[in-house]
Amino acid sequence: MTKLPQTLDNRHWIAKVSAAILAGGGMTFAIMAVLGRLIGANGDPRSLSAQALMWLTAVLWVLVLGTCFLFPTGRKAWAVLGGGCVVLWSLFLLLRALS
Amino acid sequence: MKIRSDILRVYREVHSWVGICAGLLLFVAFFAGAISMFEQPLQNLTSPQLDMPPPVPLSRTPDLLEKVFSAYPQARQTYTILLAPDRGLPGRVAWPVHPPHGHDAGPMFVATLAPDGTLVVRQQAITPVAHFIDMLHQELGIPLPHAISRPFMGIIALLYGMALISGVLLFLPTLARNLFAFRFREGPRKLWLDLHNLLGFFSLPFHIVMALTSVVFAFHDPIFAVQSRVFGTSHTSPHSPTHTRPHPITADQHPDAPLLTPTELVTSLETQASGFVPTILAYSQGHGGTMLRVSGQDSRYSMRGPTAGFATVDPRSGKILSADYLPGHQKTGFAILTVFFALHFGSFGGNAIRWGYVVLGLAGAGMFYTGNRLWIDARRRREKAAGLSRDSLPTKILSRLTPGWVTGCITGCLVILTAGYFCPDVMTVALVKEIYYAVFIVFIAFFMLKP
Repeated sequence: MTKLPQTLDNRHWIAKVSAAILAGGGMTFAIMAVLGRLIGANGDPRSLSAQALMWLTAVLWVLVLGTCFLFPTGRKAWAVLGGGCVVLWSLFLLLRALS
Repeated sequence: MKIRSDILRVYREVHSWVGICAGLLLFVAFFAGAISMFEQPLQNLTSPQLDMPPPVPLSRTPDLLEKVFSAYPQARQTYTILLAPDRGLPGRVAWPVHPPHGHDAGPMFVATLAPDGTLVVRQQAITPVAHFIDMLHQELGIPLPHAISRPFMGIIALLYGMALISGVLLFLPTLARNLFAFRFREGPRKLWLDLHNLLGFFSLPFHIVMALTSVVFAFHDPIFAVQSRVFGTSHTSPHSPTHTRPHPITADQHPDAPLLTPTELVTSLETQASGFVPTILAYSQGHGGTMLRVSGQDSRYSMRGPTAGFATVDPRSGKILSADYLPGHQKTGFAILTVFFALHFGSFGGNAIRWGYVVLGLAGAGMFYTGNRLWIDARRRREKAAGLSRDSLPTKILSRLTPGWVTGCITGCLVILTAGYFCPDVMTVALVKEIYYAVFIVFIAFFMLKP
């Protein structure tokens, strides 16, 4: 690792994009699951909550894909998005166990 | 606004690669989408005139229905009463030729009564040209099997979303300086760049809506599948608020009560939802007896579908059972979500908005074309600076593919529309497809091979 002031480049673009698609996708689904749990969504596609959550998931996923290039390295992207994915899904499982 | 130069460099690369992967496909989506704003009128224009007497007055529909049911008992399962018959369905009652499955009902029988009261039935003869162009729009002009074409479209929509984010980031630092710049005397590169920025920036809200809705159209099924697994039957939370429960669409069933006549239904709807103009009464036999879904327009509000909003109605009392998708009668949440759909389809505000969408769609297509031109120009300059005397192979291919693709798509659409208008009788699904792709490929080949 160099000590130079960090400049961003696209050398790790495959790692960053795959992190955004897989880990980032998993994380947005986890956000959907946690929020749905909190508002008591029932998952019926005809219901307002299910449709609103579906839109939210799509918007978040596009945003993660668009901003993943700002991670300094591919490893960092996987760490943050993958970590977020694990933490949020754990939170969901916890919420489900508590109810 | 200042953005670090390394971030700009990263996003310039992202923007050009994402753009080059998706640009030509999005061109087809936008061009065919602009034409599809008037899919129904185009379908009427390119369909043969059916030889049948004019539709009976609405008040005689019960008489007509009785004759239809005795001659075609299967029509009881699913049938529609047409309140606004057009050239495609020039009768009063229609029902599918084959039992319907899924969204696409397939060809329909259409019926009316002759002046002497005898039943007249014809099979609908719709030329598939307008529908084909709509499918070009939905499948980005690539004839993939249906199972692949949706996710493929979704991936391109995600790339489109990335291109929008990166494009905005790139334009922000020079926004104030270049917003109204149009330097058509400083060489082609500046011209294409200014045109690209102008089109992109001023139709940005339109593009954001298109990118998000397309992602949703492609991926809503998997997302709902995850939801039903995650929130589904396993634990039903005892305190789940009632407003998120599915709407019980069951009528106060009086199975013996007769169905309302269409005239009575229209009057009843008029008092419950004035301003909503019903056009189609769709009856079907469901679990809870006869179900009725009414489609119609109300140009004062956003509509959920491309050309209509919907209401579920009790066919025996005329009472509106579900107004979730009924323009002007939706709850706030549903109304907000409907706005997204309406902003994709341009299904609000009537024909003026539709024409506006044609312009926006063509401008969008133009933006993708200018994007490709910029990419080619930038590569040419770089290659010249690196000392190459001729274009490298990728530059050469793309500089020829772009005009071929664009002119092929435009000409292909115009040829099938013209053919559909002048000889609607011979145009089958297969023939329309063959003509379009033949023209498309000939144009690409011409530009590829020309010296």
